[in-house]
Parts: sequence; structure tokens; C-alpha cells
Amino acid sequence: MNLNIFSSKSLFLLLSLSIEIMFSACKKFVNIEPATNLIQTDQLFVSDASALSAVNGVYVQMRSTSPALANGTLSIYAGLTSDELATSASWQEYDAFFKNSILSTSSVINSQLWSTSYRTIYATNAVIENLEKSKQLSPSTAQQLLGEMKVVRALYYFYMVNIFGDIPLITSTDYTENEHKARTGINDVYQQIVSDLQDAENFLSEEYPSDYRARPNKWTAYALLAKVYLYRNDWANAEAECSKVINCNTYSLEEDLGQVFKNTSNEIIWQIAPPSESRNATEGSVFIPSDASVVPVIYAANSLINSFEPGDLRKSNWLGLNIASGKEYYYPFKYKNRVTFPVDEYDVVLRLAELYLTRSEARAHQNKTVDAITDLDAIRSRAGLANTLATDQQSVLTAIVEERQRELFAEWGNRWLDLKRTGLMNSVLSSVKSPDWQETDMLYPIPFSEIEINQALAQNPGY
Amino acid sequence: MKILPVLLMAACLVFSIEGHSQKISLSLKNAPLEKAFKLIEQQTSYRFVYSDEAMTLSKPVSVEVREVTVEGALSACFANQPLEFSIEDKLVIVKVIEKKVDNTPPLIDVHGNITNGNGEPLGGATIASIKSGKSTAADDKGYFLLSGLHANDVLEISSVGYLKQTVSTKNHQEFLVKLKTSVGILDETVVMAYGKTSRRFNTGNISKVSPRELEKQPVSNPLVALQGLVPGLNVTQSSGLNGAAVKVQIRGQNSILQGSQPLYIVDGIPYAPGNDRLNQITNATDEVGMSPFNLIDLNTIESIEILKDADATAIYGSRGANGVIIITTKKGLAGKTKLSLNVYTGISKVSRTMNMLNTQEYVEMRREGFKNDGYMPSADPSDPGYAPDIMLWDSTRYTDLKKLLIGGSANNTNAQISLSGGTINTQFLLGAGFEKNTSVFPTDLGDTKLSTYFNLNHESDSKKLGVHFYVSFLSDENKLNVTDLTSSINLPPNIKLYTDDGQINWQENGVLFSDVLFRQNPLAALKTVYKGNFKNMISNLQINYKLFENLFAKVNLGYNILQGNETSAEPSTSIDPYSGNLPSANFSNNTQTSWIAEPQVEYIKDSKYGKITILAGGTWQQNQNEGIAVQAFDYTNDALLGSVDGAGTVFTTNSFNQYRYTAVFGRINYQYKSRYLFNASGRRDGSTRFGPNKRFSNFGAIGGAWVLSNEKFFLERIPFISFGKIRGSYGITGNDQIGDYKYLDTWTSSPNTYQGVPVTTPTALFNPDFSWELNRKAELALDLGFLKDRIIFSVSYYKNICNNQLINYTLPVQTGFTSVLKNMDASLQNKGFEIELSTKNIHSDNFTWNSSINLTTNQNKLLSFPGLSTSSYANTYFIGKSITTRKLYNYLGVDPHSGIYSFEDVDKNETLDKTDRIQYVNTDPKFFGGFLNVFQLKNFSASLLFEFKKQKGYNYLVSNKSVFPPGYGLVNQPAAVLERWQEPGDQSEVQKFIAKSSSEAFYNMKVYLPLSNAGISDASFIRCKNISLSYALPLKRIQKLQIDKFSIYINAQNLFVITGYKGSDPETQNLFALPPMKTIVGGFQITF
Repeated sequence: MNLNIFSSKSLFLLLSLSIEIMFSACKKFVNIEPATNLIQTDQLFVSDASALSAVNGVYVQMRSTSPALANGTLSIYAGLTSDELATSASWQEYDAFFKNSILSTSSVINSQLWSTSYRTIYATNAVIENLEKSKQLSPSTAQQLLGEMKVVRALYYFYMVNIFGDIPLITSTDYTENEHKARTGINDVYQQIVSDLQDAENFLSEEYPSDYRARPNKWTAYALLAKVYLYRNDWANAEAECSKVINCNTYSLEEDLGQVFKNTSNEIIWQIAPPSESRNATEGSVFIPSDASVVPVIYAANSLINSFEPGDLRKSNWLGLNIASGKEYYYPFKYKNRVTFPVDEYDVVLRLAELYLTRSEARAHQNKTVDAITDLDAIRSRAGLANTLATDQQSVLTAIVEERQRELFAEWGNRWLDLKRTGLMNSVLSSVKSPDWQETDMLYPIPFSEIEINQALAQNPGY
Repeated sequence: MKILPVLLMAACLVFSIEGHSQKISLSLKNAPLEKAFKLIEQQTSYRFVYSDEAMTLSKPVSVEVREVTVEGALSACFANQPLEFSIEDKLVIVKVIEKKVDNTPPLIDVHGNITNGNGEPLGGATIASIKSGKSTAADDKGYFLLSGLHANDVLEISSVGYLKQTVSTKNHQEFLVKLKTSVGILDETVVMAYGKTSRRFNTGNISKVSPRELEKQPVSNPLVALQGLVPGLNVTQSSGLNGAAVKVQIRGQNSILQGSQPLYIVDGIPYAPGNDRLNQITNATDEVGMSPFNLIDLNTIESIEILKDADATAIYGSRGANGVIIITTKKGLAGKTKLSLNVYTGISKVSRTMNMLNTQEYVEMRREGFKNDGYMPSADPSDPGYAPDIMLWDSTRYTDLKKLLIGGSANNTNAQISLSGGTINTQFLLGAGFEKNTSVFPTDLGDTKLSTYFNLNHESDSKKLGVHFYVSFLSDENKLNVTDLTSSINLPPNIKLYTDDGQINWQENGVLFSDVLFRQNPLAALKTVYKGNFKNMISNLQINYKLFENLFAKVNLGYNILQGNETSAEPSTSIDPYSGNLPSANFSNNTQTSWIAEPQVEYIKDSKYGKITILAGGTWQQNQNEGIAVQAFDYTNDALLGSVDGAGTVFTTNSFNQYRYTAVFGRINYQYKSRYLFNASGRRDGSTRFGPNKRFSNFGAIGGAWVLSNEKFFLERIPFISFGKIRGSYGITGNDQIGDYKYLDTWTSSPNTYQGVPVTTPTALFNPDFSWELNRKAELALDLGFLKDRIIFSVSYYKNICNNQLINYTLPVQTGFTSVLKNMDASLQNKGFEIELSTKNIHSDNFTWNSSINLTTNQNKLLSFPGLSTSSYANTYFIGKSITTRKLYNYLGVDPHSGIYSFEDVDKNETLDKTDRIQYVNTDPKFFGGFLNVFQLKNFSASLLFEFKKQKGYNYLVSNKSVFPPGYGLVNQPAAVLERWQEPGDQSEVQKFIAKSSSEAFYNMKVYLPLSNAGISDASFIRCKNISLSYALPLKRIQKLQIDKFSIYINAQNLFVITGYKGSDPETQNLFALPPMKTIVGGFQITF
């Protein structure tokens, strides 16, 4: 009996000792190293090279989902909603955009235009925050990268605010603050865009930081700012920004229209390279039909075809022609590659020709008609056309709108946005797109699922 | 024989004896010895005690003595007698002289194992010797030892709930006794966490499925075999593809968004992949993925236990919140070495699908759509009535795509061989299996499995050391298409599949399929191949050692490695030549390993104060997942598709995840007089899934039971109730199913580069402060047995409340991501009843009929959600409703005037908006269960299992959450749409056919219908889950051939479904996913 008591006492001691040992072993046991493919943020922004990897991550994101806002979606879908493109496909998304009967549940709206854009904006905000915080980077690199990210953020907000109207303006990574954000007024969004681009002008160098102009330089910031001022009817500033770029002697209009969208083009101010150089521009793969005898899925609408004056080289060079069942179908052929290989066409964001037209318009509005005509003729002459016949302010402005239609068709939805910006949209589209056109179609719907989630988001009228 | 003298002696003790040192005189000649005794008794007060045996052995006495002492006289009488005497007091005890060489047999020790009919040990069975009166009880392995018995004794073996059996010790000292179930299943061994129990003495809620229910089902996935058998367990198949994953839910969804997966334990080891998707490369199983349980051989399973309440699960701590499923493998049995062979083969076809329109009907639909929208069908693409399918394609050609693509029959072959045997100390089981299931698709696809397993049990002679070792290996090669061909059944039925020279066709009359269908020729999809090679090894070593009389040390060591080697290829034959795309391939290697070490000590003391069992232990567990995936594009030659080197472009990613888990746990179980049962368990857990300050948490539960029927008053007053138990439990379990490293603010590298420079992107939104989710479970249950347990009835009521929900909180994507992991102060309740009734309807010698029925109701309810109205869930979750509840427009049917689906405009403001969504509809099963009947007529046996579920679900209008307005686009429709509206005044179920996307009808169907209760309708069903018929050849006939058992059988799975569901299969609820198979197999089982 004594033995029993003794043994159970020692047993108890042994037990409590082993529990003690186990507890401390447990604590050590649950300390693990993170996964090999993950980097903690505070270890990322410690060197110029790894900070650059985060910036390059943003560019990869811009073109990694296909298509997306910065990867052809606007060229295709905003083209369909305007009067420049038509579709033979019965695919509902093409059909809906073409008939201006977009549903708020549309996957193009949801995923390509809204979600991927805000994801990229998040990445941009995250890089900006960390670049501003980090003290271990060389100041010149930090500034360059910061400038690049501000250009990217401005680009996204510029297009978002134009296709959706008011949009939530997100400039931080703090989800607790961002999750309930309502739509920010257009003026405030533009204020952010302008301030980002002005920062970028200061931060960026004149040299391109990488080959093929695939990352922005100082001129890129000016060029985008020029477009922003144009859209804000700030003619003097638009002209000034354009002039900086046109006069910097870095860029020139390509003589050969077939070379304008090649990645070696000297007309390009900024273009985005595909991830891992894996494919040519999305526009090429979507617009160019698979066979010369088939009806193109998306083809040029009559309004576009009829806008070309006789002898316009752009019609023969930038439009392709298929004849199917005895009918002619033109399709956008600015980008020449349907296949993915070899890669010689990136996605052009900004090119010099647009700046000429922007400056022309800005000058015309300031009654600098002669200068405006000079700029306009620069573009016309490259297209093999004689100088414009317009002389007075009003006719020059009309000529510029027409020239923009021909020069910038199927590029980033320029026609759609120009119609809206110039107040022509309702009159032009209500005749071309009857009976489907409604005035409320000028803005795309906010995704239904986002409105369901965020109580502060309101839908655009008509959806 | 030795008993008799002793008894006599005892009998004689009552005589009173007198007299002392008296003198005796005797004179006898050849007189019986007894005579001498009588004379002595006459002269003295001495009395004699002797046996009849002694008298028969005695010899005649001739003696002549005078005035001698008693001793003297006796000595004279006993001279030459084979007897001896002794004197105690006044008593003369006469005994036969024991011979030095004893003829009586020596005493022996007997030992053995007691099991039930399934070979499961019957702990607590009583073994009594009839001759010596000695008895003992079997330990929890069914082992017993009785020493000091006669060589030809008889043992009587009994256990509650089993028929008594007697065995002779004449020629055996080692016994294997299988007790036949007498009335019920109350006393079968039930596996629980870290131990065993029985339904009779269990304090928690554990359901058991035994091989007799599993082995009849010709299915590959053990989880599918559980359907309809277990109350509280809802198993849903989402595809009939070989190896497709199944959804498993125990007692409803506990967590709003985070994992609701139970914990899976195989022979004491957590199964590394759980029920997460197995495949890394996308294949035809699509987003549901492949099931890791396809890699566990159903035939090696001895039992599956489903642990549900806190008492049963709390000892698993943070992993037990959603219940625990314990899979126990078959063990070897001591005795004659047995070789068993089981082979079956059969066919499968798809079960319920919907018929699609034929070409004539399709063309009619399209034309009517154009007519309704005021267009003429046109061959001109710029015409709004452009309809290439009816204007440019042959509009009379017809292919029944459903029949072509999924109308085939699959072959099933399954062969199992096993060898088992051993001694009392050591038993083994080894086996191998082969299984091949082909597909219903018109190509040579299928799933082939090979498995081997080995199981060893050993106990040392001293019974102090026990060892159990198990290892199984399974190799699976599953070939599927890259996409499920079922998704192509709604292509236009006049599609020209072949070119005129028999090749795969891509266009007709210059109209490319890729341009107008946005899909491929399904024959091309047939050329794509996914191949998954998976290898799964599970090994487990358990060592028990008896340290002291009542103290046992145990250790459980397990290792599980699962390797996946997958490839998929899209050869040039599968690629639209017009697309300009080049062949591509995917490669993936993935290894999941997990190990566990669980040292334990157990103290068991059985005394008059009750039986107490104390368990204490610790857990160290690590799961690791490592993989590499390669996407390879731009091959120039199909022959190189197996090689990464042949690709023009290659993206490679690798992944690594580690999860570590540790715990200390304990359990105290106390039983008093088999009437009062008490159980308490606790666990302190640490998990690497939480931030440094949140890693540890405590969980625990208490449970108790009162076995009423063991009370005297109960037995006397209510004799027809043979068993009665009330039990209850309460406790807290947790949930850490959130993935690894989520508490870190991380970026990840991408396989892409930007202009050749490596890139990194943000991984997720960062929240370092989330912590454990807690699930409080309460249960109250009543178990009753009637008429000697011929009827057993159980009812349990449970209520689980999950607080501090750890969820992937949905965020508007404007925050950068669609969710962030955080704790929500929301409280979600699941409560319900589980009812089980087992009856022995007929129990005669020749015919038995047993039935069992189970029924579960579960009600899910969001109790509170602070801040719901301002959260991102304001339109998703509703206080007081189930979390599957959706708030929908009220469908008013097809407007007889316009022919358009119409919905109630509640506030009469002429538009449908949020305020008009007034119908709350949930898709939770209202109740579900199963009904099993088992018949035995002599050598024939049959069983019939039905599964039923009462629920609402998505009908064909929103199949797979997508809506195709009938008539619009080049999309075929189920024949059900022919019931459409045609002219004003028509009352119909289906709206008018349309052709225009900007029409109101289109808008109503695309936008309002998915948000209305029109898309949700009754999806209740009764499924004939299994019919099984078997015939065992009479023993007499086969014994001559040295065969122990020979039976032939037919098993049919999923033969028919009774349902009013508007769609294909009411379980998968997806017109475009392969429905579950119906299978009929025939086979035989032979044991030597």
C-alpha cells in the first residue's frame, strides 16, 4: 500500500513535469518560417531591385488578364458601344455592348473593367505607400518608381471616371477605410489625377527606364496630362503639355502607317509589354479574323468606313477587308498580328499623333486657328490627305472631331469618349443606334455585385 | 470427483461428536470396512466421514483386537486398505490414498479472443468456467485469460446483446470465439477519439457505418457510400465524373464562409489533404475538383465513425468544430489463415438528365424568337436578324449531342484479394486491390486504381506490450478530359461535327464555330487529355505498454504522403485551326506530407466505486505541401507534348505551405454501476495559422449519461423497455480552416516577368489580428431499446452556436481584393433533431428482415450580426434566417398578355429594385435521411437502401448559375421550354422565345429571374441508392472443396430517382455537369 502511494505521488510529479515540458515544446513547435514563394512586405522594399520587382508586378497585372481595361477591353467594347464597330457574333457580351443594352451583371463590366482595374490600383497604391515609407532605397530610384506608379494610377482613374462617371477614389491600401467608400465626384477624381501626374512630372526622368518605352518617362506624364486637360476643357494647359512632348524631339510620326503600332515605333510615348513577352496586342488577336473568307466577329461600322475621305491611307492600311458571301467587311487592322508569336506589338497607351490632335483642338478652342490647322495637317499629311479645308474655329473643331474618329478608331475607346466629351454623343448615336439607344447609356453600369456588397455605391441611372 | 468428499465432510460437520480416549475391542473376519466403522461408533463417540467411493474401494477386514485405543483399532482396520484416515476432534475422516502418479488431468490455462460477427473485439464479454466456477472478462481487445482449469472444462461466453456460446476446453487452450448478435447493435465496438466505446456506454454522439453497409456499394469514393446512412451527415455529389469531389457537411454549416469541412482521421492519423481538392491542374471536374477520398480503398475500411457532438469531438480541439469522421481499417483475425477473393464487374450509365430539343424543334424555337422580336432570320451578319445556324447551316441535320457525348456506358471492374490469419499474439492482414472504372464519354478514359495494404497486430506473451502497425499504398491513374463534355449538350443540334471527309469540323459555310458559338466542336474537347497519377501512402504505428497494474503508456505515430503527378495536354487536333493557337500542356507535381506523434498515458481503475479512465496526451502534427507547376505553350509538334522542353513558352511556379499543430489533451471518464456515466475532455491547442499572440486556445467538453434501464425500479416497472439511456453534452470546439500564413503581410513572386525582369505582386489584404473561431455545441439525446432490443430508437437534439466567426469577409473589390480574413462578431446557430429507428421485423430461423431508418432535420439561423446593415453582407445575410437564404423577387409567372416573366413590383413604383425583393428562400435541406431494409432467406440475402432529401434547389432555368433565355443565341434548350408562351392569353410556364438582347423579355430573364424565386424550385428526391442481392452457397456443398465461403451477388447503385425536380439530377442541380452514375455490377466472393 505504501508503495502504491509513493508511486502515484511520483507519477503525479512525473506527469506534471512532462506536461510542463510538453507546453514549452509546443510553443517552439508552432514557430514556422513563411513559405518560400512569399516575401513579407518589410523585406521587399529594402533594395532597388526588389522594389522594381513590385513596380514591374503592376505592369504585369495590367496585361495579365486578357482582356482588361489596359489590355484591349476599351478598344473592343467602347468601340462597340460607339458608332465605330459592329459585331456579327451572337455572343451576349458583344451583342449587349453593341446594342447599348449592357447588363449590370455583365462580366465585361464586372471583371474586365471594374475588378481588375481596382486590383491594379491596389497594387499601385501598395507600391506607392511602401516607396514613400522605405528608407533603404536610393532616392533616385525611389523617385523614378514613384513617378511611374503615379502615372499608372492616373491612367486608371482617367478611364474609369470617363466610362463610369463618379467612382470610388481609392488611394490607400487600408481596407477598413476603403470598403465603405462611396462614389467620388468627377472633379475630385480629376484633382487626384492631375496631382498624381504633376508629381510624376517632377519625379520622372526624361530617359526611359527600360527598353521599348514600356515604362513611363517624364514625357509620358506630360502626354497623359495633356489628355486630362483636354477632357477638362483646360485648353491652355492642354496645349502647353502637348508642346512639351512634341518639342522634346524624342518622338516623331512614323511615315509608314504599318509601323505605327510596332513596338519599335518612334511615335509611341508609352506602351505596355505583355507578361513574359508572351503575346502580341490583344486588339490584334480579337479584331483580325481567323480566315480571309469569314465574316469578322467585330467589324467596322458604316459610320467609321464612311468617315474616310477618298485616298486616306489609314483606310487601306489600318482597316482590313474580308469578303464573305459577296459582302465586304472591314475590320480594325492597326495591330497586324493575330497570332501570339513573334512578339513585335505591345499595347500602345499614348502616341504622338494623338498629341498633335489634342494640341490642335486646344489651340482651336483658344482661337489659335492657324496653329490648330498646322497640327491637324500634320496628321492628315501622314495619312496621305491634302490639308484641311476648314478655316474658321467651328469648322476646324468639327474637322478635328472627324480626324480623331479616323486616326484614333478602335484605340482605347477614344471615339466613345470624344463623342461624350464634345457633347455629340446623344445626337450621333440616337440616329445610328436607334431604337436601342437611350441617353442613360452614356455611362456604363456599376457592377451589380459591388452594389450588393457596398451599401454606399449607387447605380447609374438607367440600369 | 474431488468435490464429493469435501461436500460429505461439510455435511458431517453438523454431527455433534463426544467421547475421549475410549478403549475398543473388535473381532471381525472378512467383514466390510463399514461394519468396523459401525462397531467403533457403537463403542465410542467417534464418528466417521467417508465417501461411497472410499467404501467401494475398501477391502474386507479381518481383525482381532482388545481394549485398544481408537487409533490402534483404526490402524488395524486400515492395514492393506487403499485408504487412509485422519482424526480431527472426534471425527474420523476417511480418504482414498492419493496415488503418487495421479490419473486426474492437470490444470490448464486457457486464453483467447472474443469478437462479434464482424471480427470486432468484444471488450467486457464474460468468460465463465462451468466446472471451477471461475470467470473473467475480456479486455477491450477482446482478450481473456483463465488459469487453473480442468482440461475438459466447459466455458460459457456471454456478452450483453450477444447470444451465449459454450466451448469445451477438451482439446483447446486457445480460443477464438465469435459471438452472434442476439438482438442489437448497442454493444458493438464504436471507435471514438483516442479509444473505443459502445452505443450502450457512450456519452457522446457517434454514428457508425460498418462494412456490411459499405461493401455492397459499387462506388469508388467511401464518402459517397455514406449517403443516406448517417443521421446528421449531408453528403452531396456535384458530378458523376470518376474521382469528382463530394461535399460533406455534419450538422449544417457552422461557419458563414470559412471551411465547414469535418476533420478526417484514418487509423488515428489526420488525413493530410482532408477533403480539399486533389488536383492542381484544371480538368473536367472543374471548380469542384477531384476528391482525395478516391485514394482510400473502400474495401480496406472496417468502419467509419461520424463524431458529432461536443463530447465526441472536443478532444480534437480546434479541428473538431465541423465534426470528425474516423476511418478505421480492417484488421487481421487470429485463427486459420484465410484467403479471400472478391471480384465484380458491371456497367454504369448516366442517371437523370434532361432531353434537349431536336433540330426541328430547335429551328422552330429560333424562328419563333425572331418572329416575336420582329426580325426576319437573315444570313447577313449586319442584319439584326442574323442567324447563321438556321440560315447558313444545314437546318435539317440532327445530332443527339447528349447521346453522343454522355450516352455511352462505362465499365467497372473491381478485384480484391486478401490474406489474413495469425495466432492469439500476432495477427496479420495483407491484401491487394484493383479497380478500373471507365467513362461514359466516347473516348478511352477511366480511372484505374491499384492498392496494397498490410496490417499487423502483436501482443507480447506478458500482455504488457501491444503493437499495431498499418501501411497502405494506393496508386491511381485517372484520365479525364480537360472539360466536362456535358457542358456541350446545349450546342445547336444541327452543328456539323465532321467535315465531309470525316475530320473534326470547325466551320460551316464560312461561319466559324469559334465566332458564333464561342465554343469548340465538342469532338475537339474529346482530344484533350488530363491525366492524374496519384500515390497515397498511409502508415501508422501504435504502441501500448502496460507500465503498472492500471497505467498504460501509448504512442501513436503516423505518416501520410500523397503525391500527385498531373499532366494535361491540348494537342493540335483539339485546337481550332482558325485560332492560330499552338498546342499546349500543363504539368504539375505536388507532394503533401503529414506526420503526427501522439504520446498518451491512460489510467484505468475499476473498483466498487466505479470505473475511472483517465487519458492524457500530447499531439505534434505537421502538414506540408510542396509543389511545382509548369504551364507550357506553343508546341510545334504533338509528339513533344509530354515534354516541357518541347514548349516554346514555359511558365513555372512552385509552392510551399507548412502547417504545424500541437496540443495537450486529457479526458476523464467515469462509470458507476453501468448506470451513471460521466465524461470530461479538454485540449489546449496551438496552430501556426494564427499570429504570434493568437496561437494558443483552449477547448473542452463535458458529457454525461444515465442508463435508466440498469436501474432496478425501471426493470421491474417497464419490462418491455430493454434499454434506456439519457445522455447530454456541452462543449467548445474550434475551427482553424483558414489556410496558412494568412496573418503575414506578404507579396508573392509571379511566374511572369516584365521585359525579362522578375516581378512580385501583393498576395492579400493584411490582417494580423484574427483569432480562433469557437463553436459551442450542446446535445440532449434519448436511446431506447424495446422488446429485448428488437426495436432500437434514438433521438438527439442538438444546438450548435458558432461565435466570433472567422471568415473571409467579403469586401467590395475597390479595396483591392474581394475579401479579408477577419473575425466577425456574428453568431450562427444550427439546431436539429436526429432520429434513428432500427427494427428486427422478422427473426425466424429461415427468414430475417431488419429495417433501419434515419432522419435529420437541421435548421440554420443567423442569430446576430452586429453591423450587418452597413456591412458588405447587408443584402446577403439576414438575421433570423439561414445563411443560404436569398432575398428574391416574387415571381408572378409568365404574363399572359406579353408572354414575359413577370415579378411583383411591391412598392408599385414601376421598377424592380432592392425593395421589391421580399421572398426569403433558402436551399438548405429541410430534412434528409435514409431507409435501409435487409432481408435474409436461408442462403439468400437482399438489401435495399433509399436516400431521401427534402430541399429546394436551382432548376434548369438557372442551371449552374447561368441563364440562357430560350430562343436567344445559338444555344439549345431542354425540351421543357416547348411549354412556352405563344400568343396572348396563353398560360404557360416558360416565357416567349426571343432573339434580341435589348428586349424586355431578355432583360427580365437575365437580370430579374436569377434574383427571383422562379429559378429556385423543389429539388426533393428519393433515390434508390443501393439494391443488393446475394446468394451464399450452402456450406455442405463447398466444404468438400475446402472452401469456407462462396457467394455470388448483384449490386445496383443509384438505380432510379423519384423526384419532381425541374432539371437533370436534383443532387448535382447542374444541367451541364455529368450527373451521378447508375451502376449495376455482378460478382462473387470466395474464401478459402
